[in-house]
Amino acid sequence: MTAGATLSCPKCQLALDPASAASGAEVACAACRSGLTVRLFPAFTNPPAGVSTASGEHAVDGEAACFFHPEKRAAIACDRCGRFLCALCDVPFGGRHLCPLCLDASKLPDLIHRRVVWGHVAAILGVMPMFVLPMCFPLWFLAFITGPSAIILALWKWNAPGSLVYGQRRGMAIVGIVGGLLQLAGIAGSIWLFVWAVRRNG
Amino acid sequence: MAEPTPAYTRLASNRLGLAGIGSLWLGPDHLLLVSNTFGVERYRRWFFKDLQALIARRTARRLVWNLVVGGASVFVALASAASFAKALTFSDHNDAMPFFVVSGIGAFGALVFFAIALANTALGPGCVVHVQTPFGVEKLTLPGRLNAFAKIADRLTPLIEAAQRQSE
Repeated sequence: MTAGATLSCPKCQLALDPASAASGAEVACAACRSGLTVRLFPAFTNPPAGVSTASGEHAVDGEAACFFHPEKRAAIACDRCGRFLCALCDVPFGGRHLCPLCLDASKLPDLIHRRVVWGHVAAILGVMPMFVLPMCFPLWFLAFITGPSAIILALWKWNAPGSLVYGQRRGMAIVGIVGGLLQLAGIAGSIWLFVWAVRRNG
Repeated sequence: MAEPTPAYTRLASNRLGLAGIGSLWLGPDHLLLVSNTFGVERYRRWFFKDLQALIARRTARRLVWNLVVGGASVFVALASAASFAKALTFSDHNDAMPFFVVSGIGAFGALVFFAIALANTALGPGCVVHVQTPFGVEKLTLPGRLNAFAKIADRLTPLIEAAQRQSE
């Protein structure tokens, strides 16, 4: 097998024989004896060619030209905005062809690398203090902050984009609101109990 | 203009790790690893056309868990048996009752630990999964079992091969 890439043990980095690993059965690393199960794909033997650095051919009169380089011949249109692109401006991405501006706009779900799920944050703020604060009695006053914060966050970010995989998680936001209300009720109850005890003892 | 969110299918269930709670999802043309830390989700994608290999390394996870949980089960069962034996030495039922209660709770605890050990055995050997791309080898936090890895790899292989045939 003429391998385009090399295969090595992830634990000890010793090179493995791709031919024996390709069978799909577990093989043992010769050095660290780790049991390895390997699935090889066509890209292992035929790695993709490097990115073309061709800057595109010059456009002649009457030919469609690149939006960003009017002197270059258009090779393809952006799949998102439709601008004509030369070979230099064409960015193949997830099976689509995009222009640098669309890629830069970062509105593509495929480009999101981090997202705050506010419903989840509200649920944590609403529920966690109910378990943690009673165990750390001197810190109970933090419920003054966490309870209202959970309610405000859940309502303020009600329509904010949610998790990429789970969706908006409004159920979590509702849990946060209920938890925040329970915390406020706990605070009100504690204050009432304190005042009642003070009055009773004169 | 916001793009429609691609539909994802869960491949491996949540697992607690150093980077938070991780889960693995199958996208239209990529694998997605989601790490959630206190409501902040981080996404890592591996596109099918870039994947060269999936490598699973067997670990001693199942054995370690079985030793810990099985050991706890044996310890609790012995304590329960000792309590039961002590209860039998009393002639008065009222005096023996607390020991019977402790023995019963202990027996239940031992059964729970034993059930966990059985489930751990049934799940199969543990593993650490790595993904190889032209830019190196990266560790996936899950799946954590070889059986789950085999199922996921069986599901992914035709999709990856089709994507790589298309891009050739």
